[in-house]
Amino acid sequence: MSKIVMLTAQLGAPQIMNDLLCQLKNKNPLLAEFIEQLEILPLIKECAENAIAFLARQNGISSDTAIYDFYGNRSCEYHGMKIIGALKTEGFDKGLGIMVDKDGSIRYAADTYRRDWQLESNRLTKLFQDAFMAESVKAILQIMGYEVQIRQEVQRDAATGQESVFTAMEGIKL
Amino acid sequence: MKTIKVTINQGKLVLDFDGFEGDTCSDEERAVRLMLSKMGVTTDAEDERKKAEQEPNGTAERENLRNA
Repeated sequence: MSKIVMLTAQLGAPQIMNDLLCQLKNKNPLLAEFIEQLEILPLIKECAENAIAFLARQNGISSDTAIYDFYGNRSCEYHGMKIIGALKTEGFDKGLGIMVDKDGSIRYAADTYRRDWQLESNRLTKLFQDAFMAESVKAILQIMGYEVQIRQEVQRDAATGQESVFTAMEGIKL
Repeated sequence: MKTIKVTINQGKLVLDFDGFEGDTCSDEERAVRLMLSKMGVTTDAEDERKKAEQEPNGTAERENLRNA
C-alpha cells in the first residue's frame, strides 16, 4: 500500500510526539528506539546553517556571522547564545540573528532601531522557517537512508505579495 | 524501490509514499513526523489518501478490470 499524507507544519520548541512514538514502538521498536536516542541538537544547527546559506543565495538577501546595533557594534552572540548566522537585506542592514538555544529552539535577535523593522523581520523569519523545515525533512530522509534530490525557490504570492519558500524533493531508497 | 516525494509550501507538508509493502509506509510516516517534532517542527495530519492502485497485490487492478 502507498499513500499521500497532507500535514500542517509549524515551527516551535522541540518535543517528542508521544502518541506517534507509542504507535511506532508497537510496529517497529528498533526504529522507535533509534529516534528516541538520536542526538538532535547538532542536526538542528546544521539545518539552520543550511537554511541561512540557501536564503543568502536569493536576490536581495545576504548573510553575515554577526548582527550590528545602531552604532555599528558587532555581536556574535546574544544572551549567551551564539549567533549561527544573520540574514540581511537593504531594509534590514543590521541583520536578523538566528540562534539555537540549549533545548534546540530557534531564537532570533536584531536591533530594532528602524521604524519598519517588524515588517522586514517577519518576512525574513517566515522565509527562514520555510527553509529550515525543508532542510529538516531533507536531513531526516537522508538519516533514514534515502538519496534525496531537492528543488527550492522563493515564490511571491501575486494577490498578497507575501513571499514563501517552495520546496519539492524526492527521496529514493533501493 | 521506495520513494517519498515531498512538497512544502505555505506551511503545508505533503508526503507521497510509493513502493512500500503493506502498511510500512505508515511506519515511515510516523518516523519522519517523530524526528520532525524532535527538531521543533510539529505536524498535524490534515488528510490521508491511500493509493490503492499501487498495491502490490493488484487488488485495485482487478477491481478496475471488473468494472471495465
